[in-house]
Amino acid sequence: MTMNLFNQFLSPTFLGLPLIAIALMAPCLLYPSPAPGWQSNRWTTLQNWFIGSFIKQTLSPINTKGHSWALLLATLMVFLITLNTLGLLPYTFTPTTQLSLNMAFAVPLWLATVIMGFRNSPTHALGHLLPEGTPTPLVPILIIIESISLLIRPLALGVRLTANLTAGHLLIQLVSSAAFSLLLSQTTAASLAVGLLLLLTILEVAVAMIQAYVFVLLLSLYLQENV
Amino acid sequence: MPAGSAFGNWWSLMRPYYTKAYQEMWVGIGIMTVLYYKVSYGAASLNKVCSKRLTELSLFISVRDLFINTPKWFGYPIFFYSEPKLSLIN
Repeated sequence: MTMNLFNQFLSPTFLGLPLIAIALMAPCLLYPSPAPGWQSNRWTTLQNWFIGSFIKQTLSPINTKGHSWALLLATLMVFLITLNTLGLLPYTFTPTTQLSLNMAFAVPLWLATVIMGFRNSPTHALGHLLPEGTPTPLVPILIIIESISLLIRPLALGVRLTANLTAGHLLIQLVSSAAFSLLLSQTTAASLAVGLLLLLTILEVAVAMIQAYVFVLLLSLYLQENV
Repeated sequence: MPAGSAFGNWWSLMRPYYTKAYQEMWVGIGIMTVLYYKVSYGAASLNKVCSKRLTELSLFISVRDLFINTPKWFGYPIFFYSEPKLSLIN
């Protein structure tokens, strides 16, 4: 019997009812809501500190016009980092392994930056398709190359997140299956596999947080170009 | 009613974002909605004209076939054309 490694990525259902909505909305219940008093508790203060410092760092290179995206970028970062890290728990479903979700994030946000650029200053936005100092014979080919690189951005954004998380989960499943099957027959090999699994899990926690950060960082860069 | 006032409170806070700040977002959301609908339910339009086997293959059908029922003035790009592909997983 061949092991199906991709069953963990199936969208969860219960008696035929899709649970993806619960999988997406449930993580927000873990975060503290704002306290009614003027001073919040330690958890809320920590949360506010994290969001504040993240937004300060992300929006510092961006024009004042782009600061309206602060709420969106902060929410996106917290959402992605939560989904990614919670997905590392055993038997949990990671919505960000689904290409549909990641493309649904990437395409509207990237397209919004492009449309914003063309609305505010179309000449400046078109000027991005030709780098400064380009030799004249290379101009036509470079415009085509830059246009392709512009159009490939949402695809890269979505697929990067999907591939990183899917690959990590697959590796964890493979190594843990190997460790489990070797546990009784070859204990030394199994202990090596467990050591590898520990390192891999630490790596995956880092990858989960870094990939969420990279997604939001790239979007802020696209926004910076167009605002 | 608490539920009604909760929505009202939320909308009064989020209204400037959805109506002014994030106007450009709705274009992409509309496009993704249409694409998602076409990919998920596009096979249903083939059910009427094709056999069951072909309909199963339609899970990975060409993008051109998905747009076959759209009006001609929509003008789907010609470079979307490709032959139906078999699934690699199953």
